[in-house]
Amino acid sequence: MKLVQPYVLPRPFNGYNIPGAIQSVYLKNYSTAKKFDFRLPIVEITTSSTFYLLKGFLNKNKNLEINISLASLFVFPIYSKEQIKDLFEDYLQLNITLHGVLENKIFSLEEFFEWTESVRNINNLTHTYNSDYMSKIMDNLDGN
Amino acid sequence: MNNFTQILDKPKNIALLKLREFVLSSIKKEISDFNNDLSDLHNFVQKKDVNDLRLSLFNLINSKIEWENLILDICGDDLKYKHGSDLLVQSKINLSIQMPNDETSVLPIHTDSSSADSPFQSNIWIPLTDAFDTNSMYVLDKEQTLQFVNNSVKKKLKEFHSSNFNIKKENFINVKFGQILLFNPSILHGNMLNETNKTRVSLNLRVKSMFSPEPDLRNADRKFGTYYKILTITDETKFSLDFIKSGYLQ
Repeated sequence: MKLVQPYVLPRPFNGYNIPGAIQSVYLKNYSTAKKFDFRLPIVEITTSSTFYLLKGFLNKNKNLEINISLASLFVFPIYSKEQIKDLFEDYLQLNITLHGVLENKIFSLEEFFEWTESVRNINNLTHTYNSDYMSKIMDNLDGN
Repeated sequence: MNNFTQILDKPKNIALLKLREFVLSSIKKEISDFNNDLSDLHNFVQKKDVNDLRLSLFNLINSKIEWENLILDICGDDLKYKHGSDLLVQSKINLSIQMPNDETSVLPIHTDSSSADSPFQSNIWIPLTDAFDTNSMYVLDKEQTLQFVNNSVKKKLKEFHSSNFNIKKENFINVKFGQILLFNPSILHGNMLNETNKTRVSLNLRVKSMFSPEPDLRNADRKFGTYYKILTITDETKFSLDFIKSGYLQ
């Protein structure tokens, strides 16, 4: 059976704050459903913007096929092109596959970068309900 | 009654027939004596097994066929007329089975926007059987919906249950196979115990304009990238995005 390494981020990301235990169970269920070998998760340290344990795992397994499961691909700083680049630039030659369970996506690094680009492009151009832009539209409607 | 629903007539639509055929053949593989009549499914499946069958069909339809293209074939023009040429779609298409007297499949009254779906999307409801009376879904009107949300915001609600609403026989959507329902996700809707003698099988999914407003990070799981994916995008929009991406406008 294929080994997919669960990776847990014990800090808020993308508006979520998912307890590590819940991320772990979610990833264990994913491994079971997909018939992957089970392994205890790597739990990152809580300090903001750090991925030390992830990098340690990648460095240690440089010569292997690496599969990593994540509760969400948004554990990574998707909205910052620079941070994503910094995080993965030393590992571009590795055979890495990311499994984003919430998003139901399985990506090579290259595919992951393309996806982050589309997320940035579209979400950064889209107004949220509570934006000033929407308030202005609603104020104008009220006046008509 | 104003409930922002629209029934599209798609008789003999090839893509719709393909969708139904896929569901029929998938059931046939699991239940060899199935008679190919979805409205008769309750005679071949026990209530305790219906959710397993539903999940199995859900996984198959989302992994074995390109349902996105079939949806575009069925109602792409209608969706583009309503939402524009660049469309996002819910990542996975859902399948519902409502067998007679199956209390386990009752979906209580709700609005999709209560769970943070964009109010600017359209819900698409595709019956694969005729849907009528209590085997169908009910859709309330704008007035009852606004009264409910206003009372909710003002904390005037004691509970939220279908018995608090005036649900009439005419609120149940009466559509035949070959008709598609588009409805506003913020309008109150749901179903009740199916007291007919026919099973209803239906598909549902959600579509919005790529550029219509989204939730903020309070409901990040309902944003593009998680809840939505691209259904169709024009070359011209791709060009515009590339133009912005170049940094030229910064």
